[in-house]
Amino acid sequence: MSESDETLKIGVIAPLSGNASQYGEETQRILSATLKEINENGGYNGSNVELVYEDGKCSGSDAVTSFQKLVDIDGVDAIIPFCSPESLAIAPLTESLQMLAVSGTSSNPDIEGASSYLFSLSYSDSVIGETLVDELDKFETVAMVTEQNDYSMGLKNVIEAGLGEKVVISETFESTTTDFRNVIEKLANSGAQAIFLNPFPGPTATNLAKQMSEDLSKFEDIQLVSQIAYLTDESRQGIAELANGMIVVDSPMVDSPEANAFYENVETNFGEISALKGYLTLSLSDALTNLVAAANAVGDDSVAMREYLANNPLVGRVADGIEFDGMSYLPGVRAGVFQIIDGKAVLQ
Amino acid sequence: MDFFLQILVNSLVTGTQVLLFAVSLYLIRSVSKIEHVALGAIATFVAYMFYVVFMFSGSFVASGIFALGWALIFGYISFHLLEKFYKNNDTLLGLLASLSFGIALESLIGIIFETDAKSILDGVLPVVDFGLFRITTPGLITVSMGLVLTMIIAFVVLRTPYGRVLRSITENNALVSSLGVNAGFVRMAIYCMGCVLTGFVGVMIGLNSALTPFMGFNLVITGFIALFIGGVTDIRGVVVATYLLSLVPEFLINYSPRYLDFSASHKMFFVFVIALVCVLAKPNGLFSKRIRKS
Repeated sequence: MSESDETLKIGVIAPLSGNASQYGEETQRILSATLKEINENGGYNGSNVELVYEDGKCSGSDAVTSFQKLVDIDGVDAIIPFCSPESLAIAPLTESLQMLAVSGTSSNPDIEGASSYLFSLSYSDSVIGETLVDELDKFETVAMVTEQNDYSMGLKNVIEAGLGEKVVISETFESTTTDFRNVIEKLANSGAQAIFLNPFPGPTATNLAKQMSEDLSKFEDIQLVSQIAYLTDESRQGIAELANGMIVVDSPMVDSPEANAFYENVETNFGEISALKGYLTLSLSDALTNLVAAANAVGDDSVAMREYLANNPLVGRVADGIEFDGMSYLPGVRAGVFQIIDGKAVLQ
Repeated sequence: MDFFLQILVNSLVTGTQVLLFAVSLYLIRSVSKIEHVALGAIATFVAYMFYVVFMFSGSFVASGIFALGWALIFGYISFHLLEKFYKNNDTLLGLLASLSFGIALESLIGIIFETDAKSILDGVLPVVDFGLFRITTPGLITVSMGLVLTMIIAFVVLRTPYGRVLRSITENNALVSSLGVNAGFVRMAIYCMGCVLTGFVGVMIGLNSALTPFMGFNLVITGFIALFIGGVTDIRGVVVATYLLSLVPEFLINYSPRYLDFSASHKMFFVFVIALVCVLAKPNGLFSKRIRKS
């Protein structure tokens, strides 16, 4: 717990290095912008709120180490975990130590009910998975290729369960794989009308698409469908031809005037956001906003903050007025379906 | 495009990468009796050095020379690291020292370059179209160079006096030295050659797909298995075993019935099953002959 009741310390566990480091950098930019707003508006009982970052590397074991350091050494009052593996790994610790954790971005369905002290303002992957099933169900046959990580495997399971016999091939590969040519050959020769590309966002996704682009004729009559891995413009650099027409299912792009003003504020003052731009920018910001709001309402005791968040309407840009209603996820968040048209992700 | 040929060609590229590891392990073992498993990490480090210079200069020549320099440095380091184990006949400790060196080097690469994949070349790779199959330019260079180098090495080892010297160094070091051969220098040259060959593979992997700090591990392990199931003294067996371990799993994965649900992530499972079968059936190497014991 914090050394002084006058300071609210919030720990952030995010991937500051490794494959997902871009997400960590953007997390810092988004939270810095939010923190500036909060502190300019009185902070915590008139004092500044502090953020303490730890590198969870999107890995469960690193997240547990980070959690222990944040709680035992830094004495934080609450925690914002970023990736699903981080949130799931710290879930038992949040329960046993009664340490509140609110993620803005963790989306694994297993987070639901994992701990009464763990909440997420993100959409659940099951929402993305169900929307992907709806999209892929339009085709007679589907092939899919999945990287072995929590996020992608979660989606794979939802889609296989939803589509059943329509899935003619379901390939998986290890995260360390760099040569996908035989996998690509198998997908292209599967006779599937649609291929679902399910890698983790980052270099692996780029590498897979680059190797698919070596022979575009194989995919001329096949509809490519994917998730967040190919949503950003950066993720499609060098693969424009392959990506054209691709359907991408992810969180809805929030482009209200208020949301756009916040994106601009972050990008102007703290740096570019691309991978997280959209719903996740706002839900991440809302995680911090709601923790501070709870502390201002009931003090920085983690148990009291948890009770407040669980039983009161939330505040923020996407969570405003919504209640958790006994759940770990915000109820009612829907996915967005985009199509890549002339190099841009267009919401359908 | 022919599916069978395309899978074969793609697998030949990865098989040839393993082949150069297996041949390097064979050469080093021939002169030192030590399996230098650090070659995986050395190849990775050399490839990252190529990547660093290429990012700054964009020059294949400058990057290649820099990477070659590092490969030679690692050959020199390897020789001095493992020579005393050879002289003391502590080959198991030599293997342990090599393994420790390799793991430390891999960790160092991870610390310096982080664990995300790095592509040396941006954009889509140039592809050579042969009608029935296609192959990337780096893939074509890997296969052609790999096969030519392996044939040259096999010829030298099996058909020339140099090969006889090479093979006799481990058998009778003193005798070879008495014939005026500098056995230590030969060993160092072989270490350097092994590091250059595997470094070449590392660079070609970086050009053909992407670099990761631990990419050398599966290659050196597969090469290590190929060395033993092919026969540690039989380079022909090593070559055949390498392609057996590289091609058979790919065809099992791509031609198995759908209900078995085999996928790319099962490759190492098949590698080890094949290795187990081969070791049980032919413990002294694929082409070993049964020797009657009296």
